[in-house]
Amino acid sequence: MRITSSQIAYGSAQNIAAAKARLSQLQQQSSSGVALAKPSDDPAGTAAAMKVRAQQRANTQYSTNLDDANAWLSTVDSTLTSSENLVRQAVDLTTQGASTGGLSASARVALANQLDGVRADLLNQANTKYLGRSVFAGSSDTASAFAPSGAFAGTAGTTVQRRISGTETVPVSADGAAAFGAGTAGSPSVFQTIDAISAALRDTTGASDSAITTGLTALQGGLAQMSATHATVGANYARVTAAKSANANESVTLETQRSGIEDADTTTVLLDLKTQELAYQTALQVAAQSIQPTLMSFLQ
Amino acid sequence: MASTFGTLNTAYSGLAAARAAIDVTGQNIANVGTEGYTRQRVEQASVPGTQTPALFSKGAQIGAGVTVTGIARLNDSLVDARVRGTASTSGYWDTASSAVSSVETSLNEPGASGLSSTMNDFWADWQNMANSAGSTTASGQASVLIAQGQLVASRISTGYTAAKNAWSDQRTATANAVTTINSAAKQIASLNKAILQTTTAGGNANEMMDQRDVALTSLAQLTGATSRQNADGTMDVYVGGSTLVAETTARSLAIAGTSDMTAAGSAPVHLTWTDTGSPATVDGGSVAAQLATLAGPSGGSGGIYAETAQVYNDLATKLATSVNGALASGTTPSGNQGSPFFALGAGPAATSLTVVPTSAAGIAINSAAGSADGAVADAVSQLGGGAGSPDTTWATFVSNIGVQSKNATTQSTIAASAASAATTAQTSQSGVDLDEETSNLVTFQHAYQAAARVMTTIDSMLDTLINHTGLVG
Repeated sequence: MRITSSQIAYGSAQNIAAAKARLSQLQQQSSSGVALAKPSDDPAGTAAAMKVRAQQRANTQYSTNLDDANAWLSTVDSTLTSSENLVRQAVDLTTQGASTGGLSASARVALANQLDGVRADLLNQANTKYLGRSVFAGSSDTASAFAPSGAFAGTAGTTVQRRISGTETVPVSADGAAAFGAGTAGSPSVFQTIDAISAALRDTTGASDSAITTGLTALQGGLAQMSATHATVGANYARVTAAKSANANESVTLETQRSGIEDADTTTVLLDLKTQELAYQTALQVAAQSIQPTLMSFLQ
Repeated sequence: MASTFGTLNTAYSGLAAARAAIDVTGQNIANVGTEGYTRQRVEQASVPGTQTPALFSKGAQIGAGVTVTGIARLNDSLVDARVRGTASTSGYWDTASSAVSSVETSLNEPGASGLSSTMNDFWADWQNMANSAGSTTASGQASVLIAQGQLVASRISTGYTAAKNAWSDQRTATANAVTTINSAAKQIASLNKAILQTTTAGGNANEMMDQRDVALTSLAQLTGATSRQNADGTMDVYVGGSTLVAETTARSLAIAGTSDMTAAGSAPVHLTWTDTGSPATVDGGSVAAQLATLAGPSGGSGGIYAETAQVYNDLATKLATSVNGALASGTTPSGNQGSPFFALGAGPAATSLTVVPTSAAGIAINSAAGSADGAVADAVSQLGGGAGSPDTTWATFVSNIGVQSKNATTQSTIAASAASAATTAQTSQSGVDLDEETSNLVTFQHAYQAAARVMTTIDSMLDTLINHTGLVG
């Protein structure tokens, strides 16, 4: 084959350009730390990377949802704890009122007044709101879970749900009708029970004394119901706590997956980069040596 | 026997031939860097002595020197054809791969700045909307969701417009390429004419042939043109089997078809012959690739820009249909049922996608009137991950573009290395080698000096004969 000066020059230029292109790619990879910068770098990996990124975003959202669920459940939990205390207080007051004969009419009225105070506090607790939303009203959009009369204004049997994973939701509210009683004729709410006791205490004739005993039983039943609801809230609380740690683990797993697909292996890239730098410099050196001399340099 | 002065003439022919050879060497060295220059060589032949037929032998006749018979152009037409063939393939894939990779880069995927990431945020905002149902944060979350919905719509619209503009730019570039083709064809035709005139007059048309080859290679790169050399030295050029240049006449091409991407399917961009008006086929080169990228959508295998625009349209339609579909069963906080979130106007779906609600009151997030369960918003938030979701459409498209871009880049690399091998072969055959020229220069210089020396010798011999013969002492 005939070798010409222009052929050597052309070949050198091609080799240098190819070496430079590889060097540039490796430099980009090592400086950005990203191996999958555009879909053609790895079309299958791109699809996987997009999927993982979508999961990561969803996971971050689930974490936000879990924080929200946590706030809801703590609100419900502390509300139920104080409500139970108030009901216990009402039970104590009713027990005092039920002890027949030992009390003067004025003492009974004083007890009734105290019971009215407890009822007002309890109604306040039952209408507790989180970010403007009644936590015991279920899915209803009503402003207050219980009307001043003590009747339940929400939707019984429903709860507010928070999504904690792609397939799972958790109830974050408590059913007001279950905790405080529905307030219907068949199942009076604790407020109505207290109302009845209070009215019986004020009845100085003693004709309603049996209503006090009935009310006491009803209040104790109500307290048991409230505790049962509280237990459900506690279970949900535990679920959210467990989901939070699962979510954190998932977040690490997903990030590992994403990094595995998208990020460059620093060691390999740096090693390749060094090798390529050497190849590029060699190409330059060789070109400089081979293009320079001609026969002219040696003729006088 | 030769005449007394015959040898002087022989020496002179040597001087003239050596000088011609040095001239050509000079021309070669001068053009060592000229694009398309083919090295030349002086063809010379020895001149036989005069043979006079006679009855009696007059003894051996000595040759009468040297003559320059021509200046040869040392090309190899096979190698030249290979250079043009590979230039055509390389031109095609170069253009095809740069079109796909420009679309690919515009996607910004995978990463935080891609459309998929914007859509992920959009779906997540529906979760926040569900969380805030009935609470005081609802109106704030609704503003965020509406803004995010508008961002998704605007990104889809921007992507569509970018594809449309890229289509227009490509069409302009194709029109420019057609102008270049026509001027190259004219140049070849006029070079054909000049070459014909020069060679008929016995002249040397080597440099014009070089220019013609350069023009042919650029035509091959643009259109995959092939050529055939005629006996008279002219060259005919064919594009897609039809004659572009016949000896000294050139035909011309024109670009026809729509200048709006939306009509690329019904009135495709194509080339026509200006003289007959019939459509012209281009079977290689960058123009063929440009025409392919300008084609209308055809189920994923059409022109890249129209296909991209189609995906944006599909995405907009799918987004509107699925979100509005999920919201159809929902109720707004004010009790209206099924108010849509997205609306599609007139024109392409991608540019007419708008967000309908302006506040939380217009978003049908609850499953029933009087409820604040946010169940419908939650259902909408789950649309993103499902099969047949807008996200799946987008992800499929992105990885499809990745595959196409990878293939085109590979093809382009292969074609470029074939072209580079052909060019190497061409420079090996026709390129100027300075070492060779230098050694030729020395040889011819010595030939010149030696011929001059012969002249001096004859001169001194004649001086002896004329001035010193018969003088004694």
